[in-house]
Amino acid sequence: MSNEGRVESSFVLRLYVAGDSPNSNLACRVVAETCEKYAPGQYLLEIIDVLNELERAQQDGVRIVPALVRVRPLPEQRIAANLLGVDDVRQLLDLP
Amino acid sequence: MSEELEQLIADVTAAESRLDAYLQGKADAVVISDGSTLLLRRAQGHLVESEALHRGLAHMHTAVLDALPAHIAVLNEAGEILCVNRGWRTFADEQCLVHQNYLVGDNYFAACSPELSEKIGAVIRGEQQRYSEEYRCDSPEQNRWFRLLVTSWRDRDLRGAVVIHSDITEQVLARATQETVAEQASLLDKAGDAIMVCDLQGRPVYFNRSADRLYGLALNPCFDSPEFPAALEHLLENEDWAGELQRVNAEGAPITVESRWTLVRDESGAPRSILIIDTDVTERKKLEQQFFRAQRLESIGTLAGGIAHDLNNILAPITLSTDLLKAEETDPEKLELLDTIEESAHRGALMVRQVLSFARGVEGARDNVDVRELVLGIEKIVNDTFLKNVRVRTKLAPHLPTLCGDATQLHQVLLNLCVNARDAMPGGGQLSLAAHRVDFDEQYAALHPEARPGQFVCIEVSDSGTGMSPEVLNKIFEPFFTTKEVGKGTGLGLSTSLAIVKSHEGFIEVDSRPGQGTTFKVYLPCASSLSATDTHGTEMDLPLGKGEMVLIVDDEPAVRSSTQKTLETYGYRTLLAADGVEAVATYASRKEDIALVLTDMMMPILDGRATVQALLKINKDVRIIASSGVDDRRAPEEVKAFLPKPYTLKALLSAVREAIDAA
Repeated sequence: MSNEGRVESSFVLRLYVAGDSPNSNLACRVVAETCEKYAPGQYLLEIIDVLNELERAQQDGVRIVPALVRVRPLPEQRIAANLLGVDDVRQLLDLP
Repeated sequence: MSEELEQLIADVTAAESRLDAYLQGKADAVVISDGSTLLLRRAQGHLVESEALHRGLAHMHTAVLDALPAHIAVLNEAGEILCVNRGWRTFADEQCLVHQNYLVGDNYFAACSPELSEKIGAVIRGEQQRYSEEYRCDSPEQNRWFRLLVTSWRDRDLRGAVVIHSDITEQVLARATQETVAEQASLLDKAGDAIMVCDLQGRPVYFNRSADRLYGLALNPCFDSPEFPAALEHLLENEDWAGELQRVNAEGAPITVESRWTLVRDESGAPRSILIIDTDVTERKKLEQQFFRAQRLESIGTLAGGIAHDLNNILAPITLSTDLLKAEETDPEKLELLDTIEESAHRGALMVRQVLSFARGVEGARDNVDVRELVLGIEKIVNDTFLKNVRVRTKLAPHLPTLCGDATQLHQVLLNLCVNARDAMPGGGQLSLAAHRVDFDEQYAALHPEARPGQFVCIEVSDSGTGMSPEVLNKIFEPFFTTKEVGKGTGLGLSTSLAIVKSHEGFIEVDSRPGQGTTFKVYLPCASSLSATDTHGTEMDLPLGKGEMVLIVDDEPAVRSSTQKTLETYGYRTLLAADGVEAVATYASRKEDIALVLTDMMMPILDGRATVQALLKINKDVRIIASSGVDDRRAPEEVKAFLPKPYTLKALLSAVREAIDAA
């Protein structure tokens, strides 16, 4: 996103979803709410639909959707679908 | 074949179930390394549902958009038309705009003016929330107006504009109609007549400003009209009605209006309302009455002119007899009585002349008038005739100058002011008379338009009466304006007074306030202040006689004798005749001696006209001057000279000289 260069966000996250499907919708909500709650203004969240942008999922090595990828800070981390919960996201945000 | 297919399907189903179990139902899809996505079954089901839902919603949106009467198009950022509603499509079809970038996939900017493209671009870029304009776009059949509204839309990274054209022809036409109605109403408001539209019960449903002013309809939107039922009946039969009505105006005062009614019918021809136009004719009626009064007065003047001569003849014997009696009487008391009789008869004669002068216009003698005598004379009359509850106080400055004017007329002016003063004090009060000299310089004259530099005598008549409001004060010199009851005052007193004073080259000032009495100041120029040629020149240039014989014919002895005395003093010889018969006889016997005949035109026995005819028979070249107290131009054509009575010394001598020399 063009915002990346402008805003020095502490966290850059990518959430891979599969269209308007139940787990994807849930993941969207959980991730967005958690970020907004614990790291307001410090994150950049990109939501990628694998039905449209499959190549990016492949580039990021995502196999199971939904999946959350922490691009920054390094090291890159990811959470697979079965682990997606508030605590997981918090962990990804380096919160205790 | 089918067996194998069955097996494969079972394998896929089993594999999928295992995958789902592995993922604990928490995944929707898995990305396969060959570059495709395997959507898990549950997610698939949901997607289908949601797609159906979206499709339904899209259908609803389309239905709503199509149902709107406006023409709607959605543009993307580049101005390409993404979708349009039915209205838009129909309009484009009708207007044959199909090939002109008006349909989905076309670029709308290409169809717009550069200005409009810029405006839409600004909305898309978010520089402007919305843009709207009204424009006219006539079809061959009718004039049409549209409103263009451009709003922006935004969805994640995408943005664009919604363009809506709605037909506002009806609104515009309605607005125009409203404006026309408002314009017409404002025109009606300019009309001086009261214009109203009433329903059939006589209640005003519309009225213009004049109607409101006249009847105060804004506050009290109904007016009593006892004639209404009868007028309405006539109206329904004849479509219109006109007549004079007595109404009550906004102040509650009765007024007379000229009313014109017209029946207004609705489309089906049934009576709907009444158009009423009222003209306030109250003032005109008053003027008419005044006019009638003026006509009456004029006829009185004519009548007075007719009887003036007879009245003079009645007064003449009284004067003559008193003269004779006075010569024989020695008793001082009786002499005084005779003096009073003589004076009264004299005044009576003057009054007759006054009436005549009013009937003909103001023209008086110019003699020296003693102001002191004038004012004291008035004081005496006022003291003698007014009720005792009016106290009179006179204050005369010493060394009052002499005026040049007609004593009788000035007497009339002052007496008129005194009578007015008395009438302003019905319960009695103080009447003050005063006279003093005033000198006006240039500066004073500049500030008072009526005044001019010079010496004036100011005669004041003031009362302690009711005073006058500024409105009344403005009108007092108008002819026929009177505050007195009908029959008590003619409304001519002050206007005549002013005319007299003006003819004396003077002016009148009034000072009055309600409850504080009134002061009239009559300013008259002093004799010496009048132009010198008038007074001195006369004496110098009097044309004298050269011993010519003049035959004086007049039935009035006083006139005869005074004329005789005058002519003899200034160099003529005279013969006298008391009537036409005597005149003809005298002329017949002495026609060689007589250079001129001066004859009165109104005489008993043989009147002036007949006398002149008779004289002409004796000598067709006879020189005659006709004279009359009435401005009578009915003298025979042969008589070239006419001398109006009363004549001045100069007028008499000039006329006589001219007539004799004319031959």
